[in-house]
Amino acid sequence: MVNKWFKWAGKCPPIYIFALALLILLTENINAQNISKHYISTQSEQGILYFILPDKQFKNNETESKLIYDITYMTINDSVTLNFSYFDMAQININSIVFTLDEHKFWSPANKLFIATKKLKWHYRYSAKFLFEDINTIFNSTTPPEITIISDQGNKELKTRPGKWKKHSAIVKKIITLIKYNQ
Amino acid sequence: MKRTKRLLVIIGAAAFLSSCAMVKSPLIATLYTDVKAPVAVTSNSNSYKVGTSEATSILGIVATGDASIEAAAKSAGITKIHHVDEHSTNILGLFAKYKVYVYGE
Repeated sequence: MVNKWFKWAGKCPPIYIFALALLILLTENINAQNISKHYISTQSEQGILYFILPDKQFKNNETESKLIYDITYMTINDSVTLNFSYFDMAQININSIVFTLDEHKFWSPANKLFIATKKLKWHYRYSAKFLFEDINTIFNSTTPPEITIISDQGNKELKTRPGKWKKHSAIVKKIITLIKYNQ
Repeated sequence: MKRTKRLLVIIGAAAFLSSCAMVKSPLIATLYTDVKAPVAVTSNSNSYKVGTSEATSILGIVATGDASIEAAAKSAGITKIHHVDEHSTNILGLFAKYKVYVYGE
Protein backbone atom coordinates (compact mmCIF):
# COMPACT_ATOMS: atom_id res chain seq x y z
CA MET A 1 0.00 0.00 0.00
CA VAL A 2 2.76 2.42 1.04
CA ASN A 3 4.78 1.46 -2.03
CA LYS A 4 1.74 2.21 -4.18
CA TRP A 5 1.59 5.72 -2.72
CA PHE A 6 5.30 6.25 -3.31
CA LYS A 7 4.89 5.09 -6.91
CA TRP A 8 1.94 7.46 -7.37
CA ALA A 9 3.87 10.35 -5.77
CA GLY A 10 6.78 9.66 -8.11
CA LYS A 11 4.50 9.83 -11.17
CA CYS A 12 2.51 12.80 -9.87
CA PRO A 13 3.25 15.93 -11.91
CA PRO A 14 4.60 18.86 -9.84
CA ILE A 15 1.51 20.91 -10.78
CA TYR A 16 -0.66 18.60 -8.60
CA ILE A 17 1.70 19.01 -5.66
CA PHE A 18 1.57 22.79 -6.15
CA ALA A 19 -2.25 22.65 -6.38
CA LEU A 20 -2.35 20.71 -3.09
CA ALA A 21 -0.13 23.34 -1.45
CA LEU A 22 -2.42 26.10 -2.75
CA LEU A 23 -5.49 24.24 -1.45
CA ILE A 24 -3.94 24.06 2.04
CA LEU A 25 -3.13 27.77 1.93
CA LEU A 26 -6.68 28.60 0.78
CA THR A 27 -8.12 26.49 3.59
CA GLU A 28 -6.06 28.61 5.98
CA ASN A 29 -7.74 31.74 4.59
CA ILE A 30 -11.21 30.23 4.80
CA ASN A 31 -10.54 29.56 8.47
CA ALA A 32 -9.67 33.25 9.00
CA GLN A 33 -12.79 33.59 11.10
CA ASN A 34 -11.13 31.30 13.60
CA ILE A 35 -10.32 34.01 16.16
CA SER A 36 -7.68 32.01 18.03
CA LYS A 37 -5.10 33.08 15.46
CA HIS A 38 -5.90 36.75 16.00
CA TYR A 39 -5.46 37.19 19.72
CA ILE A 40 -3.57 35.85 22.71
CA SER A 41 -4.58 35.87 26.35
CA THR A 42 -2.69 35.30 29.54
CA GLN A 43 -3.76 35.05 33.17
CA SER A 44 -2.04 37.37 35.62
CA GLU A 45 -2.55 38.47 39.23
CA GLN A 46 -4.46 41.54 38.07
CA GLY A 47 -6.83 39.70 35.72
CA ILE A 48 -6.79 38.32 32.19
CA LEU A 49 -4.61 40.14 29.69
CA TYR A 50 -5.87 40.11 26.09
CA PHE A 51 -3.74 41.09 23.11
CA ILE A 52 -5.32 41.49 19.67
CA LEU A 53 -2.63 40.99 17.04
CA PRO A 54 -1.58 43.86 14.75
CA ASP A 55 -3.84 45.02 11.94
CA LYS A 56 -2.19 46.50 8.82
CA GLN A 57 -5.12 47.60 6.65
CA PHE A 58 -5.18 51.40 7.10
CA LYS A 59 -3.30 53.34 4.42
CA ASN A 60 -3.08 56.68 2.69
CA ASN A 61 -2.37 56.02 -0.97
CA GLU A 62 -1.56 59.65 -1.79
CA THR A 63 1.21 60.05 0.76
CA GLU A 64 2.04 56.30 0.74
CA SER A 65 1.82 56.29 4.52
CA LYS A 66 0.42 53.36 6.50
CA LEU A 67 -0.70 52.51 10.02
CA ILE A 68 -0.33 49.28 12.00
CA TYR A 69 -2.07 49.01 15.34
CA ASP A 70 -2.52 46.41 18.06
CA ILE A 71 -4.89 46.35 21.04
CA THR A 72 -4.09 45.34 24.62
CA TYR A 73 -6.77 44.99 27.28
CA MET A 74 -6.61 43.99 30.94
CA THR A 75 -9.97 42.85 32.30
CA ILE A 76 -9.83 44.96 35.50
CA ASN A 77 -9.53 48.17 33.45
CA ASP A 78 -12.22 50.10 31.61
CA SER A 79 -9.72 51.34 29.03
CA VAL A 80 -7.87 49.68 26.17
CA THR A 81 -4.30 50.40 25.09
CA LEU A 82 -3.92 50.91 21.37
CA ASN A 83 -0.26 50.90 20.30
CA PHE A 84 0.32 52.03 16.74
CA SER A 85 3.11 52.35 14.22
CA TYR A 86 2.75 55.10 11.64
CA PHE A 87 5.08 55.06 8.61
CA ASP A 88 5.56 58.28 6.66
CA MET A 89 8.24 59.99 4.57
CA ALA A 90 7.51 63.28 6.34
CA GLN A 91 8.93 64.40 9.67
CA ILE A 92 6.03 65.08 12.03
CA ASN A 93 5.25 65.54 15.72
CA ILE A 94 2.23 63.34 16.47
CA ASN A 95 -0.18 64.66 19.11
CA SER A 96 -3.21 62.40 18.95
CA ILE A 97 -5.20 59.79 17.04
CA VAL A 98 -8.89 59.95 16.07
CA PHE A 99 -11.28 57.25 14.85
CA THR A 100 -14.13 58.85 12.87
CA LEU A 101 -17.23 56.72 12.50
CA ASP A 102 -20.09 58.50 10.68
CA GLU A 103 -20.62 61.55 12.92
CA HIS A 104 -18.90 60.13 15.99
CA LYS A 105 -15.28 60.90 16.79
CA PHE A 106 -13.22 58.83 19.24
CA TRP A 107 -10.13 60.80 20.21
CA SER A 108 -7.09 59.96 22.32
CA PRO A 109 -3.79 61.70 22.98
CA ALA A 110 -0.80 59.75 21.66
CA ASN A 111 2.26 59.09 23.83
CA LYS A 112 5.55 58.50 22.08
CA LEU A 113 7.21 55.09 22.53
CA PHE A 114 10.01 55.63 20.00
CA ILE A 115 10.80 56.98 16.56
CA ALA A 116 12.96 54.95 14.17
CA THR A 117 13.59 54.68 10.45
CA LYS A 118 12.42 51.91 8.13
CA LYS A 119 13.96 52.04 4.68
CA LEU A 120 13.15 55.55 3.41
CA LYS A 121 10.29 56.19 5.84
CA TRP A 122 10.05 57.34 9.45
CA HIS A 123 8.58 54.81 11.86
CA TYR A 124 6.57 56.58 14.55
CA ARG A 125 5.59 54.25 17.40
CA TYR A 126 2.98 55.70 19.75
CA SER A 127 0.54 54.53 22.41
CA ALA A 128 -3.05 55.69 22.93
CA LYS A 129 -5.86 54.80 25.32
CA PHE A 130 -9.54 54.37 24.46
CA LEU A 131 -12.52 53.32 26.52
CA PHE A 132 -13.37 49.63 26.12
CA GLU A 133 -16.93 50.60 25.16
CA ASP A 134 -15.66 53.01 22.46
CA ILE A 135 -13.54 50.25 20.92
CA ASN A 136 -16.61 48.01 21.07
CA THR A 137 -18.63 50.68 19.19
CA ILE A 138 -15.92 51.11 16.53
CA PHE A 139 -15.63 47.39 15.80
CA ASN A 140 -19.38 46.85 15.91
CA SER A 141 -19.68 49.01 12.84
CA THR A 142 -19.68 47.29 9.46
CA THR A 143 -18.73 50.52 7.70
CA PRO A 144 -15.02 51.28 8.04
CA PRO A 145 -13.92 54.19 10.24
CA GLU A 146 -11.40 56.76 9.11
CA ILE A 147 -8.28 57.14 11.22
CA THR A 148 -6.72 60.60 11.55
CA ILE A 149 -3.22 61.16 12.87
CA ILE A 150 -3.11 64.67 14.28
CA SER A 151 0.31 66.31 14.24
CA ASP A 152 1.83 69.80 14.50
CA GLN A 153 2.38 69.63 10.72
CA GLY A 154 -1.27 68.81 9.90
CA ASN A 155 -3.69 65.91 9.81
CA LYS A 156 -3.00 62.60 8.08
CA GLU A 157 -6.05 60.60 7.05
CA LEU A 158 -5.92 56.84 6.68
CA LYS A 159 -8.57 54.65 5.12
CA THR A 160 -9.30 51.02 4.41
CA ARG A 161 -11.46 49.06 1.98
CA PRO A 162 -14.96 48.08 3.23
CA GLY A 163 -14.37 44.38 2.47
CA LYS A 164 -11.17 44.25 4.49
CA TRP A 165 -12.79 46.11 7.39
CA LYS A 166 -15.85 43.85 7.40
CA LYS A 167 -13.64 40.77 7.71
CA HIS A 168 -11.39 42.22 10.42
CA SER A 169 -14.15 43.90 12.44
CA ALA A 170 -16.06 40.59 12.58
CA ILE A 171 -13.00 38.93 14.14
CA VAL A 172 -12.40 41.72 16.69
CA LYS A 173 -16.13 41.83 17.51
CA LYS A 174 -16.00 38.11 18.31
CA ILE A 175 -12.91 38.62 20.52
CA ILE A 176 -14.69 41.47 22.38
CA THR A 177 -17.69 39.18 22.94
CA LEU A 178 -15.31 36.55 24.32
CA ILE A 179 -13.75 39.13 26.67
CA LYS A 180 -17.22 40.17 27.88
CA TYR A 181 -18.16 36.54 28.56
CA ASN A 182 -15.07 36.12 30.74
CA GLN A 183 -15.52 39.30 32.76
CA MET B 1 21.47 13.38 -23.64
CA LYS B 2 18.57 11.78 -21.72
CA ARG B 3 20.93 10.92 -18.88
CA THR B 4 22.19 14.49 -18.65
CA LYS B 5 18.62 15.81 -18.57
CA ARG B 6 17.70 13.41 -15.77
CA LEU B 7 20.79 14.38 -13.83
CA LEU B 8 19.93 18.06 -14.21
CA VAL B 9 16.36 17.45 -13.00
CA ILE B 10 17.64 15.54 -9.94
CA ILE B 11 20.17 18.29 -9.13
CA GLY B 12 17.45 20.95 -9.59
CA ALA B 13 14.99 19.09 -7.37
CA ALA B 14 17.63 18.53 -4.70
CA ALA B 15 18.56 22.22 -4.74
CA PHE B 16 14.88 23.25 -4.51
CA LEU B 17 14.00 20.82 -1.72
CA SER B 18 17.09 21.53 0.35
CA SER B 19 16.19 25.23 0.54
CA CYS B 20 12.94 24.77 2.48
CA ALA B 21 11.94 27.55 4.86
CA MET B 22 12.69 26.36 8.39
CA VAL B 23 11.69 27.95 11.68
CA LYS B 24 12.90 27.55 15.26
CA SER B 25 10.35 25.46 17.13
CA PRO B 26 10.33 22.78 19.87
CA LEU B 27 8.37 20.58 17.44
CA ILE B 28 9.08 20.37 13.72
CA ALA B 29 6.69 19.12 11.03
CA THR B 30 7.25 19.14 7.29
CA LEU B 31 3.67 19.87 6.19
CA TYR B 32 2.45 22.43 8.69
CA THR B 33 3.77 23.92 11.94
CA ASP B 34 1.82 26.20 14.27
CA VAL B 35 3.41 25.96 17.70
CA LYS B 36 3.50 28.29 20.68
CA ALA B 37 6.20 27.72 23.29
CA PRO B 38 7.88 29.41 26.26
CA VAL B 39 11.20 31.21 25.95
CA ALA B 40 11.88 32.78 29.36
CA VAL B 41 10.33 33.73 32.70
CA THR B 42 11.58 36.35 35.17
CA SER B 43 10.79 37.11 38.81
CA ASN B 44 9.02 40.39 37.94
CA SER B 45 5.42 40.27 39.08
CA ASN B 46 3.31 42.48 36.80
CA SER B 47 2.37 41.99 33.15
CA TYR B 48 -0.16 44.34 31.64
CA LYS B 49 1.66 45.15 28.39
CA VAL B 50 2.37 42.90 25.41
CA GLY B 51 4.91 43.55 22.67
CA THR B 52 5.64 41.54 19.55
CA SER B 53 8.42 41.19 17.03
CA GLU B 54 8.73 38.85 14.08
CA ALA B 55 10.90 37.51 11.29
CA THR B 56 9.78 35.70 8.14
CA SER B 57 11.34 33.37 5.62
CA ILE B 58 10.11 32.73 2.08
CA LEU B 59 11.08 29.44 0.36
CA GLY B 60 14.13 29.33 2.61
CA ILE B 61 15.73 31.76 0.17
CA VAL B 62 14.92 35.12 1.78
CA ALA B 63 14.63 35.62 5.53
CA THR B 64 14.08 39.07 7.02
CA GLY B 65 12.84 40.69 10.21
CA ASP B 66 13.80 41.51 13.77
CA ALA B 67 12.38 38.90 16.14
CA SER B 68 14.45 40.03 19.11
CA ILE B 69 13.11 40.36 22.65
CA GLU B 70 14.40 43.93 22.66
CA ALA B 71 12.34 44.86 19.57
CA ALA B 72 9.22 43.27 21.07
CA ALA B 73 9.67 45.01 24.44
CA LYS B 74 10.34 48.33 22.71
CA SER B 75 7.17 48.04 20.61
CA ALA B 76 4.99 48.18 23.73
CA GLY B 77 7.20 50.34 25.94
CA ILE B 78 8.03 47.43 28.27
CA THR B 79 10.87 48.11 30.71
CA LYS B 80 10.35 45.17 33.10
CA ILE B 81 9.85 41.80 31.41
CA HIS B 82 7.59 39.23 33.07
CA HIS B 83 7.84 36.40 30.55
CA VAL B 84 8.57 35.70 26.88
CA ASP B 85 6.79 33.30 24.51
CA GLU B 86 7.46 32.32 20.91
CA HIS B 87 5.12 31.34 18.07
CA SER B 88 6.47 29.40 15.10
CA THR B 89 4.55 28.92 11.85
CA ASN B 90 5.68 26.99 8.79
CA ILE B 91 3.61 26.08 5.74
CA LEU B 92 5.11 23.32 3.56
CA GLY B 93 8.54 24.85 3.92
CA LEU B 94 7.38 27.59 1.57
CA PHE B 95 6.63 30.21 4.21
CA ALA B 96 7.88 30.41 7.77
CA LYS B 97 7.25 32.97 10.48
CA TYR B 98 8.85 33.30 13.90
CA LYS B 99 7.09 35.61 16.34
CA VAL B 100 8.17 36.67 19.83
CA TYR B 101 5.71 37.87 22.50
CA VAL B 102 7.07 39.82 25.45
CA TYR B 103 4.85 40.40 28.50
CA GLY B 104 5.70 42.95 31.16
CA GLU B 105 5.19 46.44 32.50
